[in-house]
Amino acid sequence: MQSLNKLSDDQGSSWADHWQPLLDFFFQPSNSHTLALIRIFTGSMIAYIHLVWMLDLEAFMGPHALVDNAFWHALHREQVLDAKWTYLALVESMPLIWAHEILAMVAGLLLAFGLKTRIVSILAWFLTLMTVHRMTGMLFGLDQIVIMLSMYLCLGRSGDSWSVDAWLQRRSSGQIEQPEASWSNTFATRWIQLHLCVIYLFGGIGKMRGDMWWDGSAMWYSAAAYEYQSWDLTWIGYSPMVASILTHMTVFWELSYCALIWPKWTRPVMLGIALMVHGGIAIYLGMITFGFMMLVANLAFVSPKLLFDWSLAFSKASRER
Amino acid sequence: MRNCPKKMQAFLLAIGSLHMLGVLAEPLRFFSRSEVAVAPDFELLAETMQTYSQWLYLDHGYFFFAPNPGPGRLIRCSVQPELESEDLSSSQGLQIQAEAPAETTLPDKLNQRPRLLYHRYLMLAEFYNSRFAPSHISAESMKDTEFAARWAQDWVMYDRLQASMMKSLKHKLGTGRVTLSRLERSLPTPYMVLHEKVPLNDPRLLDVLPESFPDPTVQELPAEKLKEPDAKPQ
Repeated sequence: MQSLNKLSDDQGSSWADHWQPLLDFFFQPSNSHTLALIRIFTGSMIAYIHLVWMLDLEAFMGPHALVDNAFWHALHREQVLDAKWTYLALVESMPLIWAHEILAMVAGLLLAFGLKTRIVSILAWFLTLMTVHRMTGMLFGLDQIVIMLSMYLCLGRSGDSWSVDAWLQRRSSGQIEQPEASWSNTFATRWIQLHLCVIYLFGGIGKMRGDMWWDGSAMWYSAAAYEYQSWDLTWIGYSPMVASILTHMTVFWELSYCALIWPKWTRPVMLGIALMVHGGIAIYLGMITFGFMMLVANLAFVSPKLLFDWSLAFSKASRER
Repeated sequence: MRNCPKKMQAFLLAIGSLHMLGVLAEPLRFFSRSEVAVAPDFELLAETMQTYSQWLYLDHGYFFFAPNPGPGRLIRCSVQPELESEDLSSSQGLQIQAEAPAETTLPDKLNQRPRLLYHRYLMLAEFYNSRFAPSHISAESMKDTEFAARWAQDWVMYDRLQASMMKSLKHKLGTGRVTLSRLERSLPTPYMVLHEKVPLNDPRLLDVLPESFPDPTVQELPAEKLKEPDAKPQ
């Protein structure tokens, strides 16, 4: 009788009920702590990226740029007509370029601090996108990750926690209350997670096409690349077995990330390996910024509640000290 | 608790699905190309989504250190000081070169700091090398009109990039004649580094790459001509 009732329930269930798990996946309201932490690091990195462009700005943009506006137009408008567009490819005035970069850096800082977060998140993303489009030939994975994260931050309410906005809100209302859970936080976080899965999947597929990732020598040849080396990793050559295991572990971790990051019992393992891989890239291969931002992107898989609990424990420990 | 209105959920999922196609389009196109064919389905997807994915800077293959870690690519920049003399040759626009050329390499690990600035120059050197096209191709290759047209276009682009960089470096480094050379640093084997104690920055690992390749038709013709008389009985 029970099974008959169940069958009748199933038949009577609406089309929307079947989609409910998917809708919950994208729209179940959640707190903003995960996005807030990603916002702090991404905003700081945006400010740092623009600061570094400014260290040699004349070489990167303007009339004396290494890749000048004429070449930019030849590449993006004459050879092929692509959709990369930036007003910076039209500007030759150094004061205007300086103003743009300073504004972008300030927007990054404001994003990190969470002041007028809704506006500055869009501004920081847009200004950085304009710079990125102009800097053809000088970009790498860092720019891809920063643009990705800042774009998805525009969707969520990352300013609801750990921000000047939240502090001002609390001060004006005179209440200490938890920020309201919102569907847009979940929605933004899900897109970061899915995009990250795509990145690792194709990163793994790309490596599978190379014989060095199969014969176990890729770790050595990455360590032996003088241009990338920041700390000596050539000692790894004394143990070909370790080098080979690390090589294969990297490939299989990247390939399986999109599947194994979701179950609760494999997630800590995948995040732990992410910490090792990107920490290694940051320390040994000199890509501190890129390695760091990949770890920041991985934060999307840490629940807001866990981060909030950690922050409470941290502040309690600080007070007791 | 802020909930998403039900009607908006379907709309957002539809938009999100299209966005995901934009994210997937470029890596799918990149990985579905071979030397003989391009997968038409992924090519169509990429072409459809390319305006969206290019403008949002989503058009990446995500092939970090893939398919294999490769050799280091650098640019050597030489500045030959020019001494303008007061004599007739100077007034005719000729210049006398005197001092030895000053050289700098891009990227420069010692002087370009912080590391991110160095990395920008490292990427520029990779880009410069990736745009390379030889200054001439063989007469045999010229017979393939499609190949010749592609080469001509690539060479013009490389020439323009080279001119842009030389102009910039001349502005930065002062007066003089700037020349650029492409360098490649080979990756040493574990035996070389650990047993022969070859440092990773050993000059022996560094090669200057040619700007043009020898023309095989030009080289082979005289050799054949020399052989022919020998083959004939005296």
